[in-house]
Amino acid sequence: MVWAQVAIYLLIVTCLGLGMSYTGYFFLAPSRPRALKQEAYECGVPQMAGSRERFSVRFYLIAIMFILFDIETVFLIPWAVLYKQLGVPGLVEIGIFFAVLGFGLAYLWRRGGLEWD
Amino acid sequence: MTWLWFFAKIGVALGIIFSLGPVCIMGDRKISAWIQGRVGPNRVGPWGTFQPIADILKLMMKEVIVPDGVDKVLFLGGPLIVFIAPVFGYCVIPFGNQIGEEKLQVVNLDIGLLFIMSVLSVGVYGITLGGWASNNKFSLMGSLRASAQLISYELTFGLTMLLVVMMSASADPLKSASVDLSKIVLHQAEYGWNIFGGATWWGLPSGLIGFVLLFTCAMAENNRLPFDMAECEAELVGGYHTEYSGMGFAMYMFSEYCSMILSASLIVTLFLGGWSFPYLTDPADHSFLAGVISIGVFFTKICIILFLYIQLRWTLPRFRYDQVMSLGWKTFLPLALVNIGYMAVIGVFLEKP
Amino acid sequence: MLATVAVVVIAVVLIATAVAVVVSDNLVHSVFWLAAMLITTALLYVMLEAPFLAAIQVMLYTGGVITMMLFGVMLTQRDPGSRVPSASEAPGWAAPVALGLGATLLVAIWTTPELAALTPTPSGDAQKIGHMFLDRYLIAFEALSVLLLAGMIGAIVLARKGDA
Repeated sequence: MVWAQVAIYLLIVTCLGLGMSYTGYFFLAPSRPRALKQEAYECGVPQMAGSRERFSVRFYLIAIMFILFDIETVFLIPWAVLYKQLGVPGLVEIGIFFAVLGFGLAYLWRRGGLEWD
Repeated sequence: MTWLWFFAKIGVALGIIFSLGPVCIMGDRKISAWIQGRVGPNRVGPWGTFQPIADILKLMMKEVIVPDGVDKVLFLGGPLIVFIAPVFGYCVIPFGNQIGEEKLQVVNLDIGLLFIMSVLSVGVYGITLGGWASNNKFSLMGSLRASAQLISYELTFGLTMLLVVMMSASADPLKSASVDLSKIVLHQAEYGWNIFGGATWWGLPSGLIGFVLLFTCAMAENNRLPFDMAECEAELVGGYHTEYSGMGFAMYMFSEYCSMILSASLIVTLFLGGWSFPYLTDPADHSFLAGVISIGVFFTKICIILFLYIQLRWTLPRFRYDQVMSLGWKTFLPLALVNIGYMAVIGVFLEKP
Repeated sequence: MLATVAVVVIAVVLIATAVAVVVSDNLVHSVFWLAAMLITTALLYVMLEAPFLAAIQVMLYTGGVITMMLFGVMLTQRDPGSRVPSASEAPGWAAPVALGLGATLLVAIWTTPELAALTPTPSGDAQKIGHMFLDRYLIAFEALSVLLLAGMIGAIVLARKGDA
């Protein structure tokens, strides 16, 4: 029931988005392609090289770190909901979990994994 | 009857977005002009108030240039995803108190907070997709930077939401607020807003820090000016939407304001008591009038947050990219973690509700 | 009734997107199809009344893993729009293996009568999951943090091999 409502809402939003994005494109806007107009924009000068360059490995490292800390957040949610009921034992248990990951962050920092040069 | 209510609520939610969106665009230009001592748009309609409508009409009539070598489907799909994500996320925001049996929230999901987080994480694709499909160096760089920035700040965003969950938790299993947004607001209406640390005064530093973190992260998530690494005209032309013209560009622009509105609503819901205000709203009053007043309170709060967003844009200098990343990882992430630790300790030892 | 129709539709979309991941010969397209597939899987979890799991699936997989894969592809991809042949190198070997695996799964599903009797019960509650983690599966929970730490250290070592 609730999820059916979510689905209906998503449908409405999608229709709105489709209408807003493509009415102009398909019905109102002119389409007069020219060779020069179709070029990739590079401040008005001819394109120097291909667009798909390679990137710093930093981005990849950031993505991996993101996953790991995101998993941590996800595992903290069930604890956060009932941490007052669990009391001190729960605090100790999550403290160990926290400490191990805190060590990870400290190590990452120490090894320069967070530097962006 | 239920369905009538359902569509009425959809109307209010979309009404908030589609009325505030153009107002925001206009406000952004007018307030910027005011801060910089300019006049701003003043030709179209009284005081230039019809400017956004004129802009939309103009952009709809403009040619959508699809450059050579782009991935056409992904290129045209990017703006759509980037628009759908924030508007879809709005369905779990409680924008008012209960009227009769009906909670003023499009759908009342038990996992509201997680729902928003997951929808936001999908929204990142709109940017990555658009940038990659454009077949342009600047677009690709802009989108790559933007996605790295977004995921970095999403961590702190998530951890701050976790803090709110902790503040709304209760020792009594039946009263625990869980991750249901409407219950989080009710809890605040009863025990005080989360920005003041919830139930005990010991939580005050935690609440304040949490609020600042969430606010800043929301700014970074929306690519607002101090954090506009995705666009930064000086370095990357137009960032991920360099190649977009006409409605494609308009959708990226409008979506930025939509996600601003979503973030503002989220900040208000999580830290500033949602629709509640002392002496003005009563959580137990389920009459129609009280419901309308609560919507008004919510709307006013969002507007204040949005004004702050626009004002900060001209108050703070922009960051360099490495500064953005190190702020996210070296300051915000540890701060959020310490904040959660502090909250856990005081919550366990000084628990009240 | 409506739920059954929804599950069937989701299953069809799931299979279609999964096939698209494999047959698409552009790496980035593959990754995007994978994202679509993972979101569809989350819908399946919703139908099984585990919304908590569904939200986490979307958050972690589409938010994190797919972004990492995209970065990975962009790191390595040199030529503009480089194509990777999607056809298998040895279809003669792959087909029987895949068919055998599918058959094994089908037989396992059919010969386990308990599966048919299982009905989805609302179990995605964060509170219940929390109790499970911190009572019954505590060791696994703590071990997980060590696993995450190992992942973190591994990533640093891999990424900084040159100047470490």
